[in-house]
Amino acid sequence: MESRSRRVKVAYRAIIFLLLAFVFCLSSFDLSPSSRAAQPQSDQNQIEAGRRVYLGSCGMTYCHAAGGIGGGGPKLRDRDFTPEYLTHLITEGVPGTSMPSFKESLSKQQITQCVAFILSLSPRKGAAKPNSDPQPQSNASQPQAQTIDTHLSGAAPKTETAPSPTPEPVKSNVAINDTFDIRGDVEAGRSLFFDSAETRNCRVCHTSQNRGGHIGPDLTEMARRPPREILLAIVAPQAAIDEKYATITITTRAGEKFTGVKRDENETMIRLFDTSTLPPVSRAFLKSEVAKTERLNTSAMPADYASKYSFKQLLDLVSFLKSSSVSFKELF
Amino acid sequence: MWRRIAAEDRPRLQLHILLASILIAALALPVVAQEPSWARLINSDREPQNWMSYGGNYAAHRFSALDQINRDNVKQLMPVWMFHTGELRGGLNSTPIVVDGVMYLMGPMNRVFAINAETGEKLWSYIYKLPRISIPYQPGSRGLAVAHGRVYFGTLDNHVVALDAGTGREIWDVEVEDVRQCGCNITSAPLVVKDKVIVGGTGGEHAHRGYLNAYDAKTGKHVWRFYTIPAPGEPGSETWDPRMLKYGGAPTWLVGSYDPELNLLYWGVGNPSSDFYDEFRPGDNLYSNSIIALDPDTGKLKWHYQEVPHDMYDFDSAYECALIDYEKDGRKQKLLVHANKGGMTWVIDRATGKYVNAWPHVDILTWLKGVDKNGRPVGMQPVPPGKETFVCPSAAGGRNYDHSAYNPRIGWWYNIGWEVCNVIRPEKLEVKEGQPLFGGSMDMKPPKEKPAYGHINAFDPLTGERKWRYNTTGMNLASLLATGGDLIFSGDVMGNAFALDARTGQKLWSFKTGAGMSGSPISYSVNGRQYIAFPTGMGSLLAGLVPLLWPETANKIPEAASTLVVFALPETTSKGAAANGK
Repeated sequence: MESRSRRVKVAYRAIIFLLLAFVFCLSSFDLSPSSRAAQPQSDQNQIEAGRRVYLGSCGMTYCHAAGGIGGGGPKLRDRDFTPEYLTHLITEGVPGTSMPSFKESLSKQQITQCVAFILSLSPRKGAAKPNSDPQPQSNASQPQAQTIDTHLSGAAPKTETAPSPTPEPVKSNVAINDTFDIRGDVEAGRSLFFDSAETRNCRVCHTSQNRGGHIGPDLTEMARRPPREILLAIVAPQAAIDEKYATITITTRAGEKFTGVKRDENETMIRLFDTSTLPPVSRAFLKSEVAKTERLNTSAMPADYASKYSFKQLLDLVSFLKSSSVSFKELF
Repeated sequence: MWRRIAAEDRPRLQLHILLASILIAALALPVVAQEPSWARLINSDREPQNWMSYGGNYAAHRFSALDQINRDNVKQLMPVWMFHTGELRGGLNSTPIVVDGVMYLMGPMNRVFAINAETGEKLWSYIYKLPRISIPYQPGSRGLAVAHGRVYFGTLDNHVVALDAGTGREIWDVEVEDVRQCGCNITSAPLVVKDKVIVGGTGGEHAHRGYLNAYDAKTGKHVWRFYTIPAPGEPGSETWDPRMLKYGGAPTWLVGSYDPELNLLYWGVGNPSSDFYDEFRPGDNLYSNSIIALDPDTGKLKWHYQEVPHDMYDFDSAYECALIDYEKDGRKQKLLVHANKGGMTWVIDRATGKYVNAWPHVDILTWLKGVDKNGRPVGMQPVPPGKETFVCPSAAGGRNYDHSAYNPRIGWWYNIGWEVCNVIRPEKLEVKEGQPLFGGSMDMKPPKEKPAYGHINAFDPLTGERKWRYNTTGMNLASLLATGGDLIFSGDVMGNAFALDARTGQKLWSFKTGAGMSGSPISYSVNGRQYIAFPTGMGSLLAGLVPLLWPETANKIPEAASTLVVFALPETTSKGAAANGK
């Protein structure tokens, strides 16, 4: 009797061991949605996902229209695209035309899905083409084809990989003292920087992360500066003036004076951004009508942001500016 | 010699010499051209030889009083010169301006030209330097404004620029807003009102808050901005989910009108964003799809009239506001006649904004059953998300920016119609500032059981009674021009410039220019000879639809172009006929 119960106990232990082993194996398959997404999608899922991306970004009649039939933009169906070509075009866009770059608004995966959808609109290579018309394909159904044709003349590399996506801005805390109550909010700072309803906000003159004006310096690289220095640059702009954006005054022969940041000049003309009004107005002068041009040792930036913004708003701005560079992640 | 003059005479002589010197100096100074002045612009009807503003006059009549070319001699029209802009992207879909023998032409990609309007010789050219970014909507622009000795235009990267009209050199340039942030730009002509340059912007298909801006004509300083979506707390804000404030669209993408007696600036406002998917924006969504009447000096709203509340079909109210003084049975009415993109024309009192009448200018409409006593649509067709709904007319419109024309002598209003439908499928998409927000897809289709068709009609502007109809080739994308010779001029998508009898609709003349037309023809005269100028070369976003809906045209669609073709009567005829200009 005792040996049988002992065998039963061994059997039970074995079963339990096998069960545990099974459970352990199962748990090593992470079935969470995020990991499911990372697995390669089936072709059909890929195309369906791509159809949704296409709908949101490409399918307007002003662009490529439903089903890729073409509207304001060229048709995408019944074409002979390679995946690399499409990926490049969608990622980089075609500057100088209405085709934007989607690298900031779509993820790599979304672009891949969209490419799969667009390719599904054309017959597979090797299969009989649906249109066996012996006439050469004319530009008939794509009156604006000349834009895509110039690009097809070898401009797009076929093996270039899509660029890596820009890092997500991270919520930051610029407080030096951990017990300090007021903390900067990156998103609040971003809204303040870019609020288009305000004529004095930073984006009127400055760019950050590829958006904004070009009258003052691009502030994307401010992220590398210490927070104190950024704050000072906002509230006391006279303390350190960037040479390239020095203020000048132009006096015309008619006696009018204009002060602002020099924009550019060539043999016959000089332009400056008149910062006496916001948004600044670029003014062009024939050199023959200029009596004198003087460099001023002042910054064209308004010097009253300390009173215009609350301390919290200033911290928010600093936080936003600190978040804009990859170096932020390296430092923190 | 000075010593021989008597001492007592010298001071008076010195004064005379001084005055003479000043006079000679003043005459020798270059004459500063400030033309056309505001007084000339607002009274342009007195100068039929010129076409001084986008709509022909500030009432958007697109009417030239010139009658040298008339129904009897129009068959003799012949091309006299052509002008190529040199830029094919964007075709040529603008309205030229002519002032005192000089034509100012807005080409695509913001190329601006001054041309001798009699000979076609280029006087100067200016190419605005566009940054290498993507251009929202289209690379063409519908025109420019000429006033105070300057040429004013809006750019594809959302700037407003002033050039010297005599030399084409840049004077000032101001950014409206970063185009990358708002996904919006300027593809229409500015309207100069007194000392201000008023500029509309694109944006109904992007997540952005629509606006109208005014800049000082002399200095470029920003004077006022009117947001077409009210801020929280402002009247009308209750018609939106407040989260949509910065993303709701409602752009001002065409050109307004102005009534000097009422001192009212009228502008048409386009559709709210997320065109088809409407669950982001319960409520009427003011002031989308409305006519707004503003004080042009301050930008303050005086009144509005909304045509399509809570739009689900992309039925902009952006088109021209034709200001028509209507007289019947001894009763005078100051009307504003306005084609909405949904194929309906609304007529309102332009002093008060009160509803007068509404009538369809297309045959097939499924989106409403009618209008109530205030002109508000009733029985609006539901468009449920995730499902497909067949709606007529399509989101391309019962017509588009191909403008209407009004002949004040006959009293008829001429308007284009397109009978094209679509299958709408609304979808919920992510809302992100400046990014596209179309709200789903639309698939263009012919009407059920009929091929697609298009037409030009003459209407009584108040009652909508149709006087005649002319069936067009496909959808007519070019604007209409009415002239004093009782003619209606336009051009079709296959490249035919044509003239219709304004009283009967009979086609009297056509000429194959070789390039499809989507711009706006004008008429003007120089040295007693009348000209008709046709912009050719498509440049419309809807160009791709033509072979889709009219497959018989697929292999025959003309190639791209960007050329102005100008016609006149042969010299012997124009010298003999009664001239109506300088």
